[in-house]
Amino acid sequence: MVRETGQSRVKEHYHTTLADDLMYMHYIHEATPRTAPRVTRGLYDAEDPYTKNRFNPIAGGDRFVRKQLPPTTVENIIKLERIVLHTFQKEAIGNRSYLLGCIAAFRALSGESKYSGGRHTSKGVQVVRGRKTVGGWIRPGVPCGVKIEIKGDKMYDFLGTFVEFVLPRLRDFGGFQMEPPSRNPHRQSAVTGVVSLGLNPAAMGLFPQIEVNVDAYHRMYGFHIHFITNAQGQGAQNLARSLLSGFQVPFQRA
Amino acid sequence: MSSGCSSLLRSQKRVNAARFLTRGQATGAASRSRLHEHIPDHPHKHTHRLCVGLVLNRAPVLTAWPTHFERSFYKYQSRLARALSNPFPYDFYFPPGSLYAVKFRQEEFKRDSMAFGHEFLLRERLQARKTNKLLEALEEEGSEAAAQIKPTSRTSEADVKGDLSNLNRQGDRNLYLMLGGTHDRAPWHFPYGGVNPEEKLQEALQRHMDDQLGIDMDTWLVTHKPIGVLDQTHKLPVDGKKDDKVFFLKAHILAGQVKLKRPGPRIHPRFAWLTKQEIEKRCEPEYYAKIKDMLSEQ
Repeated sequence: MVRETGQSRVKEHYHTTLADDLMYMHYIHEATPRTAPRVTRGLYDAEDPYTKNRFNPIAGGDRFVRKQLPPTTVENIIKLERIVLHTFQKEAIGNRSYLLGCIAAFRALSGESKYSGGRHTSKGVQVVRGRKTVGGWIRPGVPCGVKIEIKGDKMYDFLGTFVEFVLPRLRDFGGFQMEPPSRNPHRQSAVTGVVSLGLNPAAMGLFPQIEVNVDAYHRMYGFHIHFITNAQGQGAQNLARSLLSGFQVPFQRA
Repeated sequence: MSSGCSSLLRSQKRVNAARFLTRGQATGAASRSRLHEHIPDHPHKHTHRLCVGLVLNRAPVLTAWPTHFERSFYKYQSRLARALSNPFPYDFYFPPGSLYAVKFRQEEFKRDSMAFGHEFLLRERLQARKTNKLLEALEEEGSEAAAQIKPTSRTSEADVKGDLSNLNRQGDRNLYLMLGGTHDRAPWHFPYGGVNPEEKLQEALQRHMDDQLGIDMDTWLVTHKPIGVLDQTHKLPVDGKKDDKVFFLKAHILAGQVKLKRPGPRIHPRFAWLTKQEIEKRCEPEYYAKIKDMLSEQ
């Protein structure tokens, strides 16, 4: 299995500079230890003869979005876990061959392919299929998009390329707009530590991997970049934004 | 920090005493006089001078120099990656038979022979020469182009001269600003100064930075929260007192340089940008033991 083939500049920047700063920035002093959460329902014990082989119902309510961030320690400093590129192509619902261009572009963008480097976990470009029927639009199992997961050093390389080659050359770009502060903080996307950015088709052509032979592609495709971090809990998305900001991704107040 | 622990203990005693007191009051307060000896008359009588310190950091601008093991590891992994990677799709990236395709193929031969040895590829190379006469001409051209590119040295002029006050030194390390004493033996320390009543730490810090370090640099304060505290048990260098309590704030230098405003005989005539290991050599051991956890090893 292939491991790191060289030093990653962006990764080193994280470890030498960002990690320390982020820990200090996000540290919240807690004078007393936290009280244990109120147990409203008995925990599922798989060994209990009564619950064995029975369905474990999912906890309801808004408990997930009310979850607190864990106390700041050296062990749980926010870090980037993976980047997912995703695109939805409306034309592909009628004709699945429309996805071929996206697949080629994503392979070039990420440098990943199925089982690349002898890793059985490397999934390469995955085709996204419809999950449910929406009248006159989509049916389950119909290919409608493409996604790819990038991890490790390649993830940092992609981030470096994105920040240094693409963002400075975007037209009329002053930063990615954040949500207004009036938005409800207790929503799923605010507590999962994921930052999603959208790029227009023109931006794809600015990646050097694509730029060298932009004519080889049928056309350019707009796509989403999801930056997935290890932060979970209230305000995790803000933490994730500050991490990206440390990698020089600009954000703008709404 | 022994004095920090003792103050914590004192406050804990107070809390316990107060709890006991309420219980005592409820039951008739028989033992009140005995409890009173645990509570100090003036809890804030032993006040210290509140100070703010500055940990001014110059972040690394170069990647770390890999160790021998790391170099060997990367070399081996590169060979492995090359051997296992999918074949390069020439037709997708180059028009068939174009000059660029030939040039790239030739460069790939070079990289392959670097990775797997010259003999391994010799046969293929000779075959390629036969099929395309352009290769030989390109080989010479390529070597000339490669000779023109000369990367900048990792070692700066400041490293050669041993200039400790230059920001270009030790590009792959975290550097911290230290102020020196009046003579060579005087211990080095972080910039610090007192905090006025009703003044915030960051405001006091800005005041002392403008005063002591000059206004010729751009800095960025990482957070308003202190990253460390120096609970003095011995006298600080320069004008410190024994009871000083220094709260350190972390900042990065973004541009400019320190310009000591008052290079008089008494106040900080020297400054230096030092790594953690260099700080250890120059500080007093007691001082270093208290600040070392704030500094980066790399």
